Amino acid sequence: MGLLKAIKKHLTIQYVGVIVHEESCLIKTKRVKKGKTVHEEEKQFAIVSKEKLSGEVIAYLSQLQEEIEQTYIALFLNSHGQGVVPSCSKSAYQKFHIEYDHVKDICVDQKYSIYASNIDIKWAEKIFAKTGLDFIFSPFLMLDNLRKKESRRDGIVLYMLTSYNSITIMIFEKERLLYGTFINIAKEEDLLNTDFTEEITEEDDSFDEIDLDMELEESDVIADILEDVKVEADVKSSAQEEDATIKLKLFGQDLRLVKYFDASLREFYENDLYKSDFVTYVKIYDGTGLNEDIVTYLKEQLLVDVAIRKINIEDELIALAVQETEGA
Amino acid sequence: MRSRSFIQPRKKRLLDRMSSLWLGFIVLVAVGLIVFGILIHYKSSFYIKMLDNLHRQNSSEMKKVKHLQKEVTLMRMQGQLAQEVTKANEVLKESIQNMFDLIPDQITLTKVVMEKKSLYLKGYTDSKNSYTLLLEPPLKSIFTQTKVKFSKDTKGRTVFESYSTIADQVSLEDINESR
Repeated sequence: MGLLKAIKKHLTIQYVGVIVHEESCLIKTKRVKKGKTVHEEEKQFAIVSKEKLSGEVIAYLSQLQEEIEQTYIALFLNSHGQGVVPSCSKSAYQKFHIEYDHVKDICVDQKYSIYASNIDIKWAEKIFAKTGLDFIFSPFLMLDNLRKKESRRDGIVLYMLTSYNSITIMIFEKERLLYGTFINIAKEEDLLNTDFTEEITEEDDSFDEIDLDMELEESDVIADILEDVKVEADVKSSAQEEDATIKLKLFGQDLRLVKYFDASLREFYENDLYKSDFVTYVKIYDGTGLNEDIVTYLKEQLLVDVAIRKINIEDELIALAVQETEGA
Repeated sequence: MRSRSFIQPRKKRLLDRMSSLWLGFIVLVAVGLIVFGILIHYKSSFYIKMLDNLHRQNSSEMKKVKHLQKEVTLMRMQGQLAQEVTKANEVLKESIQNMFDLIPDQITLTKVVMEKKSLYLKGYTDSKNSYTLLLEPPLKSIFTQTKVKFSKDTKGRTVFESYSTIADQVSLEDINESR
């Protein structure tokens, strides 16, 4: 075994991080030799649908693997059939109405578990059938990995990871997970997996461009939600005032992001399944380059400190793959 | 560490297909060579042992041969010796025969001492004359010197004692006498 490791040290290991979006496929390649990065490459391919990788992608991945035998392909799982449960026990799944037999779970630190539906895992395996796949990483795992690098904060901290087409939210009280959700914001339908969104989905009429008036209307709704959750009564008015002065310009996806963020927060506050309290700090790992307005809006809405760190999702994905191969 | 991925990574080969083929081939050849080498080693050590044995056998055989050669020379010598002895015996026999042929009927021998270069005879004779006539001439012809002494025994018969020698014996005696 020692010999194998010694030989492996001298081999070039190639990590390929793949992120499949609805109409594009992002591939980042990193070659590592003796702990040093010797080559990095990033490519984007257009694809027709999430159900099938284009021939170009398959050819590219096959070529990469032909060049280097030690190639690990990691996929960032961004389909909505996944989530996180604040316990590792099977009974917790029942409590959250998740059919344990239909998901694959991974217990993290014996504190909480992340899961993905068998259908989504099958989907990933199917679209990578021709090229092979080594890792499927949950965005929760990535967020947790990022979170662990932070210094600990007291109170309830909301961590959010934003990617091109999804947001991942985890709320922690110190090391205890209180709540977590993953939302695909590419399409409105994806919201269906959160079971309390009816009133929001009703309003997806136009997303092309929302002017201030529209946004005011929107923030009214959000403010209403917040009021429902018994946030201080003045939130609504302050939100309205701020919105008026800030002149928010939010487009389709950005708007959806805000909406889903609010909806998630509301679920966290309202749903009895979660032990909830007010969030005191928000940390956003920004993988997309968030609209500054969103950040400002969130700050104003939540009345808490919001910290943003820009990250590269592909790099984080590769970092997870490196951890996994080196830990194994 | 438990895997944090939803699927297990594929097993990776340490080398690509071509390299592993090559490596396999090289290993195969190496193993073949080693086996061949071992075979040759055993075979050669076997031959070396055999050669050793043969050397040992050879030296012992050589010793035997030398021994036999010695024996042969010894036997040859013995054979020569035997031949010489028989020849000498034959010569002796002939000379005895000759000597007895010399003795006439009138003379009876009682004692004969035959040596290489001398002859001593003692016996009876009818008379001195018969000795001097019949025996002395042949003796004188053979020997260079002949001495004779006559006497009478108790029964009145004439007894003679003759002593004949060949030349150098005589000269030696002469020398003794002259002293």
